[in-house]
Amino acid sequence: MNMVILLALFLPLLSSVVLFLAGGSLSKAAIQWCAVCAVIVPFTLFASSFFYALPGPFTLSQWVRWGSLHIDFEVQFDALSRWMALIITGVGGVIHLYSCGYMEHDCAPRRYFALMNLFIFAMLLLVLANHLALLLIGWEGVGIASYLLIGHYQTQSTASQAAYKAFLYNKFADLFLIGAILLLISAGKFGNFSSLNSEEMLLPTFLPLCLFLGAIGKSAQFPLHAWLPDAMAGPTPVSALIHAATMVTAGIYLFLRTHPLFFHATEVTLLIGIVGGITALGAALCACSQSDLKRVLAYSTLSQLGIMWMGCSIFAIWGVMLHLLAHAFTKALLFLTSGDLIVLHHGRSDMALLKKTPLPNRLLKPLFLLGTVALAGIPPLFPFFSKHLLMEASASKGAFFLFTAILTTSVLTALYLAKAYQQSFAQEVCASTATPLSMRISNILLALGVLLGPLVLLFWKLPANAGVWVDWTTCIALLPVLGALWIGMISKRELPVEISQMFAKGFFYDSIVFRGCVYPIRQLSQALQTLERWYSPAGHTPLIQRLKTLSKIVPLLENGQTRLYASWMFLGVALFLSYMML
Amino acid sequence: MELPLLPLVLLSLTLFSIGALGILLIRHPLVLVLSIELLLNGANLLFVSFGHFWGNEIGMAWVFFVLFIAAIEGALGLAILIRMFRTTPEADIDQYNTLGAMQ
Repeated sequence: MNMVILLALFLPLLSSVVLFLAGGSLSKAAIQWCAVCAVIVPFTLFASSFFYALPGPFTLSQWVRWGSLHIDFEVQFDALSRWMALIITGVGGVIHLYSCGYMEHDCAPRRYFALMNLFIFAMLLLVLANHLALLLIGWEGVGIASYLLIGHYQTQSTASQAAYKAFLYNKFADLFLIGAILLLISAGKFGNFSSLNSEEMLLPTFLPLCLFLGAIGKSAQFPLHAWLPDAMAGPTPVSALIHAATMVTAGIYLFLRTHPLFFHATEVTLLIGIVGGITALGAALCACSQSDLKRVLAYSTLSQLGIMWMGCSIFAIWGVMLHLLAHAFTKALLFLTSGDLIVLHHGRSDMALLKKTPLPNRLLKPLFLLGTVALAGIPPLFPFFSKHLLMEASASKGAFFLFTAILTTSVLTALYLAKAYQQSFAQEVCASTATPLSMRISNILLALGVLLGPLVLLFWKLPANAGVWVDWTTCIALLPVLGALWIGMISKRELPVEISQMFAKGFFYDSIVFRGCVYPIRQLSQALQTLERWYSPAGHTPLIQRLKTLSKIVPLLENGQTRLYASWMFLGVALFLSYMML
Repeated sequence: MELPLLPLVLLSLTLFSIGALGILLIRHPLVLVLSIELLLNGANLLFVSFGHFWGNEIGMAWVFFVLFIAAIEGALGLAILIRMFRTTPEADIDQYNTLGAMQ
């Protein structure tokens, strides 16, 4: 069993390396087959684990031996890792298949597929790691793959700027994760996750806070969320895989993995609830006024992640996990159905533009509608169950703020998705612009996932009190959601211009960051530069000039000349003697 | 027999100065070795004179040690000089300014 897991883990890496090194001599079809198989095969391998008992953690090799600090390459495959691995390879496999059609006319398929496989490997490493240090490797790996894939269209300056922005935001958050690891090491408590969780130990005070701040960079929560809407500059399958289904859930995964550390940190869990609430509501409002279809979906991802974080703050672990799974399928479905339209416009996704295009096939309209209805939380589709579980948990914990926030977000979700549907999918079907088969198949596969997803509940041991599905919360929740869907479908009314501007610009967060952070730092650096010029007026790089002069004086002491050494020696002795005499 | 101290000290200072100047100014390696002998002998003369002046033998005893060192230094120095002359015949101490092999 261990070998099966290792094979499944390293197959995408192998394929990525092969594509990078030897992909130039392969044909386009061979590249696509290689990349798709390297994700589908691990999926079947991970799925086959249902027939075996789960193996315990096992060690690949030694890594760090430094004093009392022992770190190994340790892999574990438990229930949580299994579900995450299945999402990554399952949704990832479907999206790889979709990419074969979507990227058919792309000029760099080798780079694209190699990076996608690299991403899958890094993400698998992240969820299979048994301690924070190995997790960090996967964490940085997905960060770099995301950076490179956002910037896939190298000729567009928006894409490269978005990639840079995503990289900076992610790196800033990574500092906190590294800080958390260093805190653990310096406290002598570094160990694998089970030791971290089981011990009744005194932990460094800032540890939960650092972990949370590290997690919200990848998961794009309120102070560090601004990179995600811009990341839509990448290809649509990349947005579906990395920025909707998998990478943005890495922060959630980190919380689920280390949640016992948060039990006693009540301030931090309160902060998590508040941040999740702000992001969920704010992003849902922003999504209402976006003119770009992919940005609507990006803000929708932000708000769904906010819901998951709210669930985290009350430790509704399996509810969060279920919502993560449901959201992965639903959002991938929404992205991929939009991708069918976007590919006709060479990557542009303005809704005003999309509206003018006839739909390429008959399935597209019902599939996007299915995604809309599902994400709004209508039974019996997948996200209904997860949202319901979260609402039930928050109501039973007495956290009515969270309950209200989740409900309001659901209503807003229904509203903006229905509006997006009405604005970009209301036109006629035209058979002349048919999409490739692989894209249609993957759309249908994801739709099946959304429809049949609730079956996973049969596998799960949920808390005993969560068995009642239809009760008063469901009835209350459904009515406004249905109303919002209806309003979004038929209403032509727009918000007042000022408010819709504010929503469209994301509450002006980018300009606030520019004024508050980027601009002062730029001013400071200019001031320092002026100071340096003033300090030494001559020459372009004065400090360097001075250092060069100094470096010419120093060798005079040491030039290999015996007589010079002798004179230094005599001089030294003379100085010493005169000092002694005086 | 009483010897005056001052001329002896002046003599040893002169010897020492000649040695030091020889080391610093003359570029021939053989002169370097000779000058070092002069330095040592200047110091020896000072030892002997002060030993005589204070009336004890410690100064004399030190001279033996210094002579011993000087003999070894002379032998080693000459051996090194022979090696040097074999590789570079022009005998200029300033040429020997690298630690690596001679050109």
